[in-house]
Amino acid sequence: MPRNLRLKAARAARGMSQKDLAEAVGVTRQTINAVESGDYNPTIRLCIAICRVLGRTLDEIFWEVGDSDQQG
Amino acid sequence: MISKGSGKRPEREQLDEMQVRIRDRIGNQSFMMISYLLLLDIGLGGFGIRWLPYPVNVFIIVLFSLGVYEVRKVWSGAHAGPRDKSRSRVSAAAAVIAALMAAAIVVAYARSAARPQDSADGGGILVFLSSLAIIAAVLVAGIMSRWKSGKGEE
Repeated sequence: MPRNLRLKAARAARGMSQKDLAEAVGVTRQTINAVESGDYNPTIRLCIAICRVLGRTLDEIFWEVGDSDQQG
Repeated sequence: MISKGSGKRPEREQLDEMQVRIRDRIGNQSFMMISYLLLLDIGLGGFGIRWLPYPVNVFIIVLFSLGVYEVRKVWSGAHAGPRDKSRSRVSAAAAVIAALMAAAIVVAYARSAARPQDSADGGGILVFLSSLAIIAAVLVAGIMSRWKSGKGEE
């Protein structure tokens, strides 16, 4: 799976660390790191929880828009 | 009468979705490993190779597989939920359990190697006592968990 740079950017825009986001969502920091690095494919429930915390939509963070976004 | 309850762990102790997936994968692999090791032991027995007498051989195979399962769970961080404040204590407890398992394996092997004529009875006693200890530990952990979640006797 490709890295999710949009998630990382959205998190950084809020000034949150991976640990902060993990605690807000209710998962471990390792899970957030795995989602950002593309090592783990989150469920829709986790995706929605992350979007709620970051104030973004699912499309903005998790929709795959093409090959240009797939390189980490 | 003990209340039935939902049987679910308190939310603060629940593993997150990635931890559940990792734990299940490790569990499946451990199950296959114990199956293969037991089959290998049976196969070797068919060729006349008995590395340890029954039941010590089975005991060591099971204990080894359990130890690998616990160590891999802790190593992968799938042993305690994100909200479980006792994560470090759980890791320490898992390390102690793994060390005890390793010690039990060494003792069982050394005892059987030193006195093979007595190993059948000694091995049986070892397996029986170890099984009692594990069952008691699991029961106590389950009872303590129910007390903490407020689901006790009515």
